[in-house]
Amino acid sequence: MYRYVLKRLVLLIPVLLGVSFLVYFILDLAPGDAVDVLAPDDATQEDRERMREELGLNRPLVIRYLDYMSDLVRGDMGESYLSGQPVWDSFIEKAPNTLLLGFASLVVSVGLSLPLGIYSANRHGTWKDNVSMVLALLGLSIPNFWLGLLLMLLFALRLGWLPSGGADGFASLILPAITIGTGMMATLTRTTRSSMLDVIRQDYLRTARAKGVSERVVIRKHALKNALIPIITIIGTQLGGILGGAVLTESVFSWPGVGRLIVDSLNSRDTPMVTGAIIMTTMFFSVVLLLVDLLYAFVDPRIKAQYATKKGGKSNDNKQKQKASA
Amino acid sequence: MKRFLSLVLCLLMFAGMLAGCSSNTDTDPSTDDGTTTTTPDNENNSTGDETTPSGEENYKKDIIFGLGGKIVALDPQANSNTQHNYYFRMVFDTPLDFNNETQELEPNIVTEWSTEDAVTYSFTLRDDVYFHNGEQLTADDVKFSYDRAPDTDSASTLGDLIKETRVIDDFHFEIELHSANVDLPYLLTLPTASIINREAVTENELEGTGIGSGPWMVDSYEFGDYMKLVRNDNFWGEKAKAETFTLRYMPETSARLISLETGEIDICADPDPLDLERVRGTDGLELQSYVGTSITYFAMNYKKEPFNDQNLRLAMAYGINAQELIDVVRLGEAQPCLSLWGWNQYGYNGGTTPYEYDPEKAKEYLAAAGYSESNPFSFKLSVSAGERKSCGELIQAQLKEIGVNVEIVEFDTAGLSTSTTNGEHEACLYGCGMNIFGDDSRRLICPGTGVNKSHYDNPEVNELMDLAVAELDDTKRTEYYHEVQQILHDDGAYVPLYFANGFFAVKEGTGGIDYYPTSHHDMSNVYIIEQ
Repeated sequence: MYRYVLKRLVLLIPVLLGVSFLVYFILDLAPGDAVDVLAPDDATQEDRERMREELGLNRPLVIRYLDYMSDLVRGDMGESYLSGQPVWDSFIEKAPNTLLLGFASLVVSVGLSLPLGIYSANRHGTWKDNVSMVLALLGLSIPNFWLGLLLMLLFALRLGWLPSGGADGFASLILPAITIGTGMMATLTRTTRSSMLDVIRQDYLRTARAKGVSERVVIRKHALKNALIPIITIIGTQLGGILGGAVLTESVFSWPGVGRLIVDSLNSRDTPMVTGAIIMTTMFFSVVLLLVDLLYAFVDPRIKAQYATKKGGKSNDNKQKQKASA
Repeated sequence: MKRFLSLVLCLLMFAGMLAGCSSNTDTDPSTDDGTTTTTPDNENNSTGDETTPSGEENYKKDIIFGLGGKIVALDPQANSNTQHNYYFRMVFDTPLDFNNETQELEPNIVTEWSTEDAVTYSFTLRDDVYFHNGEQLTADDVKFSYDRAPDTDSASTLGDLIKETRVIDDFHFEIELHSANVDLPYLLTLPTASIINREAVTENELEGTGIGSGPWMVDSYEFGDYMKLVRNDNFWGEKAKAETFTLRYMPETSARLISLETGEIDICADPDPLDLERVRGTDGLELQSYVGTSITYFAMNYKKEPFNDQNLRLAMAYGINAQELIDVVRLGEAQPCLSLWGWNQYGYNGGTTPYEYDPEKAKEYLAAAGYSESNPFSFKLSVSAGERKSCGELIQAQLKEIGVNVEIVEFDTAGLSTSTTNGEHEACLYGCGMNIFGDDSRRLICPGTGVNKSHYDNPEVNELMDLAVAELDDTKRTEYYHEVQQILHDDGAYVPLYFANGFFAVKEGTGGIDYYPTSHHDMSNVYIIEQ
């Protein structure tokens, strides 16, 4: 397993190189640069050229990219063109907010999707199943910014129960988490339902029921555990994506997160900030996916057994080789 | 089953519509119009209807201001957009001040100033001005600030004008310019002319630039989120009535207004024109407005085909109905722009050079340019998203009436700026805020600056602008500027469209905001009387 983890981590290097290359070059292809944002209206062409020179934007793209990567491997993500602050500082300032919002959204999503998916699968083909699926689909269909504004109007303005925005304490987390969570629940609910449907038709569950095991135990103990692999995959993907942030929701709720940072920086052509933030989110995404893969082994004994077999197989092979050489 | 599902869906949609479309039940738009408008006619830029303190009121201690742009710099010489200027005006002092009511220059930390030739200016500083770190502000700090200006992002224009700043003694200094410029005192009222503390900046260039001598001090900040200011109790002038003032970045306009309604913020900058009636009709809120000098204009690339043809430019000028743009896109919340000059700007000709909407005249110019129904004229119009795109679509429809086909090309702000600065466009919709001094128009009509989106370059205009900025005689200078406006009009250099009205939605009892037509308002003396 350690070799597997190491291999996956090594594979991360070309992924990060590819991502940084794409982001850096695509940003350069887009019309405009940071000087257009920084320069005042009355700046002369000479002023603009001086600013380009100061930011290093007058150098060829490849040279700029190589310099950036050379600094990056030494742990220096550069400075924002706009604020002059180190990219790492700006990113790390926003990342906890986004992670918090992401986890809260995931809790909402999982908390709604699992019961709804299981309920739906148990009542497959009935009107209750259809209603559950429509509810899940609504979560996906309603645009986040619209749902966010509706929730804000209802819970902040009309009822006055919750704040309308900002990142001040638990109460301000609720509305954005519900907004993102309901958007995430559609995929998870449908995956839970189809995965459960596959499992509850299996012979061993029929046997369990025949032996008089209660339906609740059949579902919780026997069916759900075996249906978890695809569900974990979806949760893992969603978890990996949370650092990228939910840009619209962060904007609507004035949530100071990474998503908003990336989009604002993108609009300002702040290449070091955009590239640095995307590299960090890619790393996070890849590590979470790796952890999800490892989690399979703990959830599903068959996968664990595969690891064990491979390990055992290899050690047996080694023993045989040693014997042969002896 | 299907009926049940339909019923559920209908109920959900209905609930959504109720939540989204209903307005505050406590309001009555017909009975309470809290708007105060400042118009070009009265040339009075104060809010007028704002609550005036009698001296015995309780003032709100902590004021939160929601704005649509983010603050990413402490340094007043590093950025010059609207949101940064709010902060700069509160934290830093400029040598001189501009009174929006009298439209006159006023002393600030400079008590006296004089010049004989508009090349060398002498200034006397107050001797009771202290920076937030306790250092006294002296002529050395002024010299340091202006010597540094040429190499900065936003103060370079000012810095490039100055040949030398000479310290006479602690409280006297001289500025010598490369050439005569009668507008220097006005330039010294802009936030880019803010004085920074030499010692603090030398010690720490990033944090030190946030130390000013103004009525507010930086307490804490997170770039791209908020900036919290606290009152400077050692300020030499009138002390602020509130204790803290927080500028909070809230990019979504509707959400910003909701936050004002819920009481989470006290002042909401730039509410959407569609929401103005809602604000006017909401108890406890007021709408404060001003007529801005931000011109929205239609620029045609003077340097290349097809708009290097004067007939074609004039065809566009008479074929565009600016009043319709004001009525439809701005919902009436804008003033006609009758000259390519700010309505309060020095040298304004009083609006005597408008392009009256005249489709027949436009067709004549079009024919003179060689276009007809069988040979229709087409061009690409570069726009940014939002209001400018809406304007572009309406212009597209208007010009269709005279047989011109317009293809709209949408860019984001940075993309549009680059494309139009490099002259890659055929025509574009753009805007800029005009300052009070006459030479400010140079950036729009003379070559070499990024905001001359027509790439207009007329030697006659350039010469008149040079003469005007060096002219000490007011009458002559005004004549030069009037002549420039007439040439621009005859040449069809730009089609000025409108001056947008600006709005702040505020809590009832809010006052003290000094509204600048350029939208770079001074919030230093803002207060909210607690009801």
